[in-house]
Amino acid sequence: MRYIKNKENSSKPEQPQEIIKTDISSSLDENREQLDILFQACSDMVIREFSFGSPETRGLLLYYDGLVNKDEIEQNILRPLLLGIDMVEGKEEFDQKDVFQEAKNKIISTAEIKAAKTWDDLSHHVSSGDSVLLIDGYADGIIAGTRSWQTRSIATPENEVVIFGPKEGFNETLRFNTAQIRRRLKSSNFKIETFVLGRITKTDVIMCYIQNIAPASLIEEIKKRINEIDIDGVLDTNYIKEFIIDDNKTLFSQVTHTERPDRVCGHLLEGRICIMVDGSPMALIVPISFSEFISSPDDYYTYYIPASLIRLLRFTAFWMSLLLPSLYVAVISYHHEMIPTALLLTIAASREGVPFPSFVEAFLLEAMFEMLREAGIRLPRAVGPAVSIVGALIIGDAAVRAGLVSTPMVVIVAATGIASFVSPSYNASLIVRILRFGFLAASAMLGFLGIMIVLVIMLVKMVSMSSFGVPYLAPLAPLDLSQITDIMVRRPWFLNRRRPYLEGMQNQTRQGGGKDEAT
Amino acid sequence: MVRISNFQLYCILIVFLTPLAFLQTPQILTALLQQNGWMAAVMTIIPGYMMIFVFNHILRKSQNPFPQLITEHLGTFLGKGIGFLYILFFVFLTSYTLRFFTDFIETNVLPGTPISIHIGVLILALVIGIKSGIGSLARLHEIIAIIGVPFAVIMVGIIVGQQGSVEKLLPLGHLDYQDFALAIGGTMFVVCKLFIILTFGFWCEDKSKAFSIMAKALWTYIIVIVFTTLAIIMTFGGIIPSVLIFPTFSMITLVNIGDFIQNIDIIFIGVWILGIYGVTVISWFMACYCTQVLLNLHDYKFLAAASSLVIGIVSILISANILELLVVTRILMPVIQGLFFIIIPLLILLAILLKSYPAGNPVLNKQNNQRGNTA
Amino acid sequence: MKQLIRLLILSQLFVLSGCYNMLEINDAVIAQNFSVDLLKNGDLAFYAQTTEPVARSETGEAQPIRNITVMGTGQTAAEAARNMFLDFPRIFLWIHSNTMFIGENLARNDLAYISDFLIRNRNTRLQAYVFVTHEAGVEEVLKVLNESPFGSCSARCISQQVIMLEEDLGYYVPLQTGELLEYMVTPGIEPVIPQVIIVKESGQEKLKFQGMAVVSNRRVIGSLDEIESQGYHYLRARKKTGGLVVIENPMEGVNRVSMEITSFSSKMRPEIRGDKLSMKVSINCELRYLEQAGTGNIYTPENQDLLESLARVQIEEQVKACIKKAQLLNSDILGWGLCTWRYEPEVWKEIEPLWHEIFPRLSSSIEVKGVLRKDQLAGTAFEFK
Repeated sequence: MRYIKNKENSSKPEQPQEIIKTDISSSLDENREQLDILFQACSDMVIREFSFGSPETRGLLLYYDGLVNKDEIEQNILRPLLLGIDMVEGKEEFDQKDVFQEAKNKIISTAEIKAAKTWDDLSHHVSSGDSVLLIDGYADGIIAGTRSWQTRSIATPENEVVIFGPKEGFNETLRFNTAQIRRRLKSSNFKIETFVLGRITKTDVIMCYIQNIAPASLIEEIKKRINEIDIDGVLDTNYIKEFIIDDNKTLFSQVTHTERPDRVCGHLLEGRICIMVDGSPMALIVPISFSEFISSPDDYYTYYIPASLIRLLRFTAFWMSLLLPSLYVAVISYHHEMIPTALLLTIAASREGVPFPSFVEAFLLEAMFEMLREAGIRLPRAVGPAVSIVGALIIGDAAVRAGLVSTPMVVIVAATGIASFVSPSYNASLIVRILRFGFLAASAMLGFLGIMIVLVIMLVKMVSMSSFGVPYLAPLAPLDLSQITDIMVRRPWFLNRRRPYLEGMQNQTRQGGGKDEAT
Repeated sequence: MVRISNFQLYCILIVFLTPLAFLQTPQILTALLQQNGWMAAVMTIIPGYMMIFVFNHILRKSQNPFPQLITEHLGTFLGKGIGFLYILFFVFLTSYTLRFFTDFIETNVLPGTPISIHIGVLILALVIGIKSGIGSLARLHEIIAIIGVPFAVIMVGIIVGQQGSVEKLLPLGHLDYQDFALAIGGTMFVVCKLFIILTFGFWCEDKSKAFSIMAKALWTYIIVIVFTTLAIIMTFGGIIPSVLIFPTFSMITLVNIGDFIQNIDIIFIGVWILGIYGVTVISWFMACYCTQVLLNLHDYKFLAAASSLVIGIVSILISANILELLVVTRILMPVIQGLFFIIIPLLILLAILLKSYPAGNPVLNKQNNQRGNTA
Repeated sequence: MKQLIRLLILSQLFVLSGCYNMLEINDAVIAQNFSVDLLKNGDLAFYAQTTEPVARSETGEAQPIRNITVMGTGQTAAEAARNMFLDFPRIFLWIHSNTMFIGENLARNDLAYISDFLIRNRNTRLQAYVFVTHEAGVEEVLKVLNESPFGSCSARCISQQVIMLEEDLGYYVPLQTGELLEYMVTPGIEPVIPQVIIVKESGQEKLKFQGMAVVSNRRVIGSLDEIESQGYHYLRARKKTGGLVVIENPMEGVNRVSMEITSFSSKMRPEIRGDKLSMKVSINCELRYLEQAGTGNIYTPENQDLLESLARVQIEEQVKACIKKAQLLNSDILGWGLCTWRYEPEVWKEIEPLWHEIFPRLSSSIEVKGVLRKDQLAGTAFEFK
């Protein structure tokens, strides 16, 4: 028994999943063997063996091709080790010293450098674009920051276009993104905490907030929820979102997505928390209320009077895109009295000979519109607009001429489509698009009464929801008179003296008297 | 424990009092007093304040919300017995409200749709509401009150501006005092619905403000009813409204804005549904909550689905037709509501006055001390 | 499973609702007018005028439209209305009908035939303008109406016309169904309904307003002519505007002068002197000088008093004529009884049972004030060469 146990202890792991759990060995040959097992069939892995110094010390450098800056490896790692080592120290002196410490502290000249003890650590860093130097006789690896890869340059976010204000957007490299936020928040109170999520992807996930503004309890809660995530891979912020939201059986989004660093900063200044994932340009903002979906960053970059009018317009468009087809069906099928007689005569004339009930007509047209919209997004850019034009103009016109649909219905569906494009948030517009069909069915069932019943259910659902403790319909329900004015219209900056209240917020003062936050 | 803000409590009271009364009370008032109907609504302030004093006193002298407070003041046996009666009463009230609403819809909007469909759809929405919990319902009532009260006032204002004639209010006075008393009773049986403060008052931010919250709710109710009754009289005179079943609704049908927006009664009904939903969900919640407390259950939310069948069936069986429903509305409901919302609270008040209590309420004192310390 | 059951129940609700009250607009026609008459056999005839929906041409041009009248008969209004489907395939949307013709035969018989139908029916609104046919049946009137110009909304044109007549000429006072019912049930007031007749001009039949039918105890008992209806307009107008004063030979060299009443107010109050009840009528008018015929110049500051007094006299005569006719017909169309109830309720309680005897003999005093305030573009008349 004892023999077996010893044998087990002394045996070398031979499977990658076993190796990864072990420490790096001090023998370079042994390490080489482990590496061959660990990175077998990884054709982009570069393992460069070499000798340096005198007496000759064997070293091994490994990195992934394409993730590193080869010039930096050459200039800051290989060249100093192979050629410049004698220039650094006298030969005798070098012999007596700890080669590992010498190489790490004096020879390798990359900006970021640290040591790794385990294969797991080593693997994570190599996969992240760092280079690892293993030296014979030392059970540690030197990790040199040589990350560099081809990335998208900073571009204007296509999904959140603004007229005024900053045009920069995030890209897929986390560090560039955090830098963009840091550049705008020059305060040591701006904190970025990193988590590594994904058993395979080992994705860097960050949570940023402004200390003294963001509620401490909220920070702890989000940390807790992120730490509880156990998944093989995280490729986008949405992976995180679905784990951390309060209610995952609802259509309504409880987080805001944004690609804009200025928008993230705006939210951070209101005490919210931003979560970002390496490899995705989308930032998550929590907690939020539904009103966030109707405000656009543009509102705050435009003079408050036109901005307020535009916000009112957006409110109107929101309700239009949600209810217009269902209201039309309700009115045309149940409540004819509401339409002025002359208009009703016109509608009646245009519906003569149309074979479908108005509900079916609306449903088909709406469904067709949604398909066109999806087709427009998925198709190559050169073809997309053409499909939309063919769909909207030619099919629409042909359908009216053939007497399949009535002209007012085409107008209604088109107006609804335009109204839905007004929404600044794709998330909100998505919810509205789905709900619209529910309202349409309800209106066909019971007319306006049906619409109102669905609206009541929707309201009940919305009031019962919260995003990290913030009621979803705040500041309308519960009513907060000091904030409601900034929802319906855009309150001028000089009146925006306080931040929207979040449970546990330490500093709500925005203008005057808030000196404690300046650091 | 659930916490609701003072404003939410105010909204709950308003929504519980006003929507049904908006349609019913002006008809009762004009039928009895013709052009003087609004005077009875104004006079209701006096008995209304008396009821507020009663409820406030019970609230201050109690340590547990209704229905536990009945046991607290009347003893376990009587408390449990009366508590069970209240369950039946709230179930009946919910069913009646549902039925009134569906009959209204049947009469005015969708005469062909069976009432069972209306009731089924509404019950579905109500069950979802109760399951969401009282915190959510309080927030919902805020929205209902914020939308409903201004909307009602604007509608009535438009009508007065378009059709109203002040002359139709004449002659002032010259009324039968018996009818006047009956009309005050007709308004009063709605005011006594403030009774629910005996439960909700314990959950609000500041129980000591219950009096002012009730007073505000009373004033809002009176203003809405006086204004609506005045508008009806100024539009139709004193006689036509007594013939109509829903004079308020008939008045709203006359709204015409710019010869384009017309016949907007369905919009009015749409907003009114919100109010009716608010009333029904509160009375149903009360039934579920009373059941939870009296049977020592862990939660009330699951009772919603369980009791939905009973409520649905009772609301269908309540009356055979609208004529019977009107009899229930004008005779039975005032009597039943008077018993449960006025007589029994008065009995509890009597018990409180006869019993000796230590000076000051221990709970309140404790709260006040805490507040003093933090200040 | 639970979700599936919920989904099933929801879908059942959707299907079960069966869209009971759904009515597609192209399965219905819009009634622009509904009318009632009493037939000789004692049945009621119910009429509806509708417009055939015709789509615009592809170039967007409006197509010629056709008005149709549909009739049904029955023992009650409801039965008659439903019997219309015997020869008409579509459902009527009554709610848009904003005019109602009451046949002379029914009007002279008993308006109670239709009063309950009007108040109880959810498909009609109490806002339709009411007219009584004179010397013609409803069917003939509707036939003329179908062929009139502006045919697409010919019934609606009639209501527009009566509103214009009130506001510009001050001839007739429109009456809506709600008001008709209110006046029929309120003690101390009777309704007066604009009256239409068919006239033949150059071989073509036309519909024309002529007088107002006076109702007493639910039946039409006579009518006001144009002058009397102008007087009625000053006393019970819905809009306190409109009216034309034409004065003949006010001075030498001026044959006629027209003035328009831009706004007015009127007040009727009971006066009790001793045991005697009388009515005090006061009218305040604002006038606009419209035109003159003749070579003289009357529109001068010196002549203002003259013009105002002549206008006052004419208005007073019109009002007197109206009161005289009302008393002659013994129908309290002016609402003096209601006025007494409102301002002297104690007196009214005593006299109410005898009101039909008191009203014809009730004395009245009329006070008219007219002020010339406005004119048009010319400040003086031409001095012809």
